Amino acid sequence: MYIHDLVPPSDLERLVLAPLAPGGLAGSPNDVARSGRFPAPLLTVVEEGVALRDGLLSGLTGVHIAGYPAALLIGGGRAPRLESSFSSDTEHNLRMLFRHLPDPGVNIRRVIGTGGVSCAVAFVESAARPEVVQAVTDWAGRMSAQEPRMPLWRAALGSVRLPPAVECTVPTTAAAALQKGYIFVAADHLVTPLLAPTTLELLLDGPHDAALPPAVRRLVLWPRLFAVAVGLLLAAFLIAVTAYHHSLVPGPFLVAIASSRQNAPFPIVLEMFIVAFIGDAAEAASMRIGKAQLALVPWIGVTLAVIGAMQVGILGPLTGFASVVAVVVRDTLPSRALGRTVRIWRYFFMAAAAALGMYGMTLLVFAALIYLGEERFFAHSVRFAPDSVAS
Amino acid sequence: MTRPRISPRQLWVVVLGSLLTTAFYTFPRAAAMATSTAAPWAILLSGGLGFLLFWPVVAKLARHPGKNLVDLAVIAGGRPLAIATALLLGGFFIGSAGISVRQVSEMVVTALYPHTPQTFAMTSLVAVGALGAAASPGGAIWVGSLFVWPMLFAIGVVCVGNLGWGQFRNVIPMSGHGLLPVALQLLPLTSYLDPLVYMAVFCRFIVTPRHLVRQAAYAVGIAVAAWAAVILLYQMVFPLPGGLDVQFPVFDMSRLVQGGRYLERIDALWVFSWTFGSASRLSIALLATALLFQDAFGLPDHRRAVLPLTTAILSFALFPSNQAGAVNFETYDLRQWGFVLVLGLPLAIAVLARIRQKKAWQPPETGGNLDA
Amino acid sequence: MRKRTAALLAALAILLTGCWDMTGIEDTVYAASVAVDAAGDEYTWTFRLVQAEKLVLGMLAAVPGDPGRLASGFVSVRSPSLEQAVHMVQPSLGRILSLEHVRSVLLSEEVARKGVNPLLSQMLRNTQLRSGLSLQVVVGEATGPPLNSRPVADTNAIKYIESIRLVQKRFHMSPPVQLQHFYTRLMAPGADPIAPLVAVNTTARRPPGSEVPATEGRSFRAGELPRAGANPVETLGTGVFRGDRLAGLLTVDETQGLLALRGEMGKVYASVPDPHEPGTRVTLRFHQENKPAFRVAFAGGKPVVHVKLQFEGEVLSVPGGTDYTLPQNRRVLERETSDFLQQETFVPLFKRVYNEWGADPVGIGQLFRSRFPTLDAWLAFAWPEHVQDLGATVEVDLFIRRFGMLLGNPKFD
Repeated sequence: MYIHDLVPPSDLERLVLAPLAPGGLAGSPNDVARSGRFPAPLLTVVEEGVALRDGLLSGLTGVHIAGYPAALLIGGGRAPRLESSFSSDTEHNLRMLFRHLPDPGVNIRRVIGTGGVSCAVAFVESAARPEVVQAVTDWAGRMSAQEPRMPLWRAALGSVRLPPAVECTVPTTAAAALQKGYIFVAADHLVTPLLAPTTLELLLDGPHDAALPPAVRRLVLWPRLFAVAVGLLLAAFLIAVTAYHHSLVPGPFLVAIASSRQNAPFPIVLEMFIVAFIGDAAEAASMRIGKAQLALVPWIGVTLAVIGAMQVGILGPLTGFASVVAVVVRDTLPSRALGRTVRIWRYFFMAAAAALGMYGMTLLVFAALIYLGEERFFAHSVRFAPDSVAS
Repeated sequence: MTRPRISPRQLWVVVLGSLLTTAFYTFPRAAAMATSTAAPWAILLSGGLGFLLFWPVVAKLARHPGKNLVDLAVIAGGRPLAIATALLLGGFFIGSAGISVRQVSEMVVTALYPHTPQTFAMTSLVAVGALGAAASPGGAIWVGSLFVWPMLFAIGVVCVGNLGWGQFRNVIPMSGHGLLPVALQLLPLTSYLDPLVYMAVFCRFIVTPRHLVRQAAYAVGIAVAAWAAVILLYQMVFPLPGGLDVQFPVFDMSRLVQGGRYLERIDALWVFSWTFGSASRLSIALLATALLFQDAFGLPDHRRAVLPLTTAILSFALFPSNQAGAVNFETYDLRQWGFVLVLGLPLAIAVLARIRQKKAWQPPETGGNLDA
Repeated sequence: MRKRTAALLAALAILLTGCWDMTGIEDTVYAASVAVDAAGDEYTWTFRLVQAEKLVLGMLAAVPGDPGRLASGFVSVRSPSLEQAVHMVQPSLGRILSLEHVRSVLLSEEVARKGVNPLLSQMLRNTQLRSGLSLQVVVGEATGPPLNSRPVADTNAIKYIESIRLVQKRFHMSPPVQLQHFYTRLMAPGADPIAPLVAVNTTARRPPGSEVPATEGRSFRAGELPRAGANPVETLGTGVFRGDRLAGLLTVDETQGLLALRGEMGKVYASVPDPHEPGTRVTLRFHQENKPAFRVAFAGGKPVVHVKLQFEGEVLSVPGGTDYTLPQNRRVLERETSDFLQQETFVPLFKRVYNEWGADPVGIGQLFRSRFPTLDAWLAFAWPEHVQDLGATVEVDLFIRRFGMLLGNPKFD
């Protein structure tokens, strides 16, 4: 096994390999480690190629003593453990990508965006379409660390559309996507790298789906679609049912709702909007906390669920139920981009349900599907994967 | 831009979904009226007969990738025949789509929102349908292909929710009961297979239409089986002669389905799936007609035909003065002779084209992009 | 992109101008049942309106519920049609009256005997009423049961009415008939509809433990049970229709015989004379083993039918002391009980319902359909005119399979 097989050529010059004469370090790597000449935390013996590769990629120095099968890693504490996910460092992200995709056909283009932002665009030449690559590269070149100033209404309208690229947190997903023709975009100002162009397949993929057999992946798709439908339509459905289609609710349950709403200050439609807005506002606030507090994010979700459960008692069974389910469903969607889109779109569905009940919801679902069928990012249709025959 | 490409499976799923939604509103009652004795058998036989009538058309097109019915018409009788085909077939599609829109809006206004103006319900449905047609053909067909699954699911749940074991004796079998009347009334039932013509129009987008005949057989087979099941169920739930009085047959069946502890009387959910189906069928029918006009008249883009055709659909929808008039118009006027247009005309064109086939196909005179 | 946005916005704009039929749950009052009495050429419509705020819901009840009374109020109005009645009630209500959750319609005996066709057609045409509601015939005035109902364990009117159907399906003492079933039987050329009977039992108004009349081996209808206390309203027996007019009333035993002929009997309890101990009665639980087998024919131009019924029985009580687990005793019991059922239940049932009333609640006419080549020929035969000429023979087979938890019949000296 050669070191070239483990590390991309562009990184080789950053590594130090020190072949030492037998006299300098006598004995096997284990003997050297136990000899006490070097502080134990600085030395690690590795006997597997993977551990050696991980150590070298994390910046440690590797020492191989001729004649012995093991190697020494110098400079680290315990055996280095690489993060298994992407970060905001472009080079680290590229290294992670290569680690999972040792494909000689991987190309990288370095682009300097607006304001000096350094971006890297990676793709597999045999899989990606040239016009898509060019479009993504042009888009990366227009990237800027500062978000452009624009009126709030325009920003709101813009967020109605799907984003052109989807965040990717797990290298295995990125590797699998690149082999299907997607383009990997990394830049220092991005929290996580992106995969372009956005497609429905990418939005519905989970972080660890690459490890699943294809048949299981297809099966897993259906509960996710159901979760998307629930997140999008549940509040609207409840509005439609309580405002237009009372016959849908079972009689005893209906009377219980009527009983609980005798002294309600707001109509139920307004309550649904208020609850949804409060939930979204709290979640948006949670996005602004720093990295150090990122570990708190799951707890915020739990807190919101508890608040939702309390709302069941205060506002009534329906609105509380809707808010709890909405929080849970949103947080379990596989893609953050999809979660954001669902969060915004559901207000429109709630408005349509408030206007025309189930009929209005149906019409808007149809319009949404037309949009999904027609939207194109980087000359590629949203509805198909890049390697699909249809377009 | 390149011509949109669709898979054969997408196409037959579009055709299947259109076949299912075509018949959902009045078919059970209309079929019961047509045969009055052995409707399920008549439907099964008519499906076979319809497929046989249409098979030469798809078989001819399946051998020539990139060609559609208008190209066949040009071969068969030149540009005038192509224009006549577009006008006749387009007229039928517009008429049946208009009646379908009328039926859905009547159901919405009568059964769900009695105080809503009917023109509002009608125009809103036509607006989204036109939106779908105005999308690119690839996008419109993709959207249309999504709705076969909710339609099949809706049929399944209606069957399960209304099945009463032991009620089969309400359904009169064929043997010994009006075999001749059943046989005589098969042909009008084949007019419900008009979505088959979509295959002849959209097949231009398929990369290799080699399996077109098989896809047509799948679409007809599944649709006919579903129709027969719904008719059988309908005659169990609303036996003749009382079943002829029901305004919206399958909707009324859905009103009997009790969902259980958390949902009951799930008819509003059926409006959900049927409005889907109607909007998708409307947009596909409009798209097919627009493409026919584009090819026949040499328009640069199919979207130029969408607005005038939408206006025509609305006019047809308002044409009958009441719901009973709409049902009678569809059953006795449109569907009684529709098979001549939707099956007879393409068959005649295919036969003529075979007789007059030139050694090499002439490229069509239209020069524009289909997906501008 | 702009055009697409504009198109989507236009579509949205269409949707945002709706809201014509929006009605909140708190702005609606739901009718749980409708009672219809005759009033000359018109009808008196009595609506039971659910009072949601009186329902007990944990900590949320505004007013504590009153056990033994359904949380509902009543309003009556006279009008020729249901929709007009609703409109006449509206001005006195502070909410929108909704019929979407009506669970039962009660018709007085007088209305049923006049003919239910005018009522049925308007109920089926109504978009709010559901065809799954229960249709019941009241012995006496239709307002009697709603106004006198005092259920032991319910306060929710809708749930109470639903639970009546649960009891009907479990014990088969009255048929659970929905509007949909009534309509399809009415429209079918070879069958007639039936409906359960409801009545107020005046004896039951006495406090529990009071003296009540003896049973004397009689079979009862709604309103006749010898009991005291609990809900005075009871559902028992069947009303048989000829066409759309009520032809006659059946007791509980006759109802169970009718259900057996329809193949819907399920499990019923009956007491039959003990063949070895005259004067005492053996209690058996009967279960219909197979659907009834019919053979129809024309004899001398008249329709005849032979029906074979099979039951299996479980011996529950033998006060006389005979050991019916012994095969010879069991065979005697089986034979005597079969004859008893044939002579005392089924043959009189056919005579009364078919030959006297001219009604066909079993649907035997449907079986004659196969004797005609086309539907039109069958319709031209006009089966309702030949019902009273029907000759029926009944064969009953009983197999006693179970004997409860005891073998033999121990004597305690």
